Amino acid sequence: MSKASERIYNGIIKENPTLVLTLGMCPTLAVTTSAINGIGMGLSSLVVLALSNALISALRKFIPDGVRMPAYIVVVASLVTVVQFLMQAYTPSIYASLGIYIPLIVVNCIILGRAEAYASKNAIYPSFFDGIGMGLGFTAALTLLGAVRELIGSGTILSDGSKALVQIPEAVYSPASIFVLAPGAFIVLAFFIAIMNRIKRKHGMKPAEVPDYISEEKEEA
Amino acid sequence: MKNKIVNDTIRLFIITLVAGIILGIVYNLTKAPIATQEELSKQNAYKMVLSAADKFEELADEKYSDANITATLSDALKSSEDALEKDDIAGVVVGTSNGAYAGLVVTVIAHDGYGGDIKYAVGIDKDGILQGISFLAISETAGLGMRAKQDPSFAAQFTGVSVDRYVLVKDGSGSNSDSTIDAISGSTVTSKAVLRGVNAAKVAVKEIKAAKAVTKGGVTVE
Repeated sequence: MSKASERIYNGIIKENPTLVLTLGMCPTLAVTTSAINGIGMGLSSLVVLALSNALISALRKFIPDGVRMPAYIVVVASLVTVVQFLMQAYTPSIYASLGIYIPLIVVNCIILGRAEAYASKNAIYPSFFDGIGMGLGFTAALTLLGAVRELIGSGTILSDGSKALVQIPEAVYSPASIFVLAPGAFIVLAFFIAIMNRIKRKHGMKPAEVPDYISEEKEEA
Repeated sequence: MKNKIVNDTIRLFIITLVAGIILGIVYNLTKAPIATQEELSKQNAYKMVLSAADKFEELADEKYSDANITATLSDALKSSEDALEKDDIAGVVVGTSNGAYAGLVVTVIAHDGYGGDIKYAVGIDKDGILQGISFLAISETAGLGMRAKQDPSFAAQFTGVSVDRYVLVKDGSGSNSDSTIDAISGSTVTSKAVLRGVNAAKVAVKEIKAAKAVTKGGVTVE
């Protein structure tokens, strides 16, 4: 397997940021009330993750160890702001649908987590693909979470108010609103992590097993 | 040891300096296009709630500017039947059609939503008929309060009628053709917040009409 596809596989399955590393729980719980929200948040994070990983990796020899955290935060926050300005100015329609997720990304610990755990120790090319892999894993997890919560909680999938990809008529099923509220997020997330543990076992990993470097930074997350 | 601290400081300083400069450059480059886009989306948003108008202008008098209008109208809002002091009028623009007065678009911020502020534009035409409500910022609970925005039948209850004040009912007796509005079931707080904001917009329109305010382009509101 090439380095790039290895990183992408790693991000989606082996070290899925949401379901294995349990990083970025705030946005995960908050935005996954519908599938479209999950896609929006996931894709915005993907772009920023890939770029920030590449940038941190390029600067890894320049950033001193002692002040690496403030340096990462400055780099990531500036990058996010630049992306936001550019989107707002030149792609207003994308900004209108994804713009609200941008400020949430700055404080997303997946980005700092990957900068610390991977990009600061590896070359630019694999770091970039690590960002893409992590972003895809985040997007997949958020979209699935959102879809399940939306289906049980509102009886739709990918709804925009008037029409939806899947719509259960209210005569057949009356939606359980608790699933679009916070408790529903925890319930669905727990089931997803359980399923993920099963998948991991099939891949020969222990359910609770996480890579060594994660255990020490969990508290920061 | 001392060298390490100096070295760390200098490097962090360089990083922040470069980041600051880049941000400044990008900000300046994108300032004009962003302003154009915002103006464009504003005009479109106004047009959605007041389709009779082809152009939107601000009022000339400084007391009706976005910053001052809430203070200017605060007495009228407080003394209205609903005691609307909780709501802010974020701005008023006058819609004109071929240079003649066509209606007003009032942007309201209701602070008493379930999930914080709800901001929306209300378009009221020259005959006092409410033409449309468009939500600009809303963070109510999905599936409950969010239906205020997503389910058009809620906003539809306001449109098409000319009344001074809307009343919320919870027994399903609301009607699309008079002042009664059915609350969204399970979201009374949101329904109430939106309703009060619309009433505040009504008060604002009444006051501005009574004052015969004039726009920057010289059109009189009447």
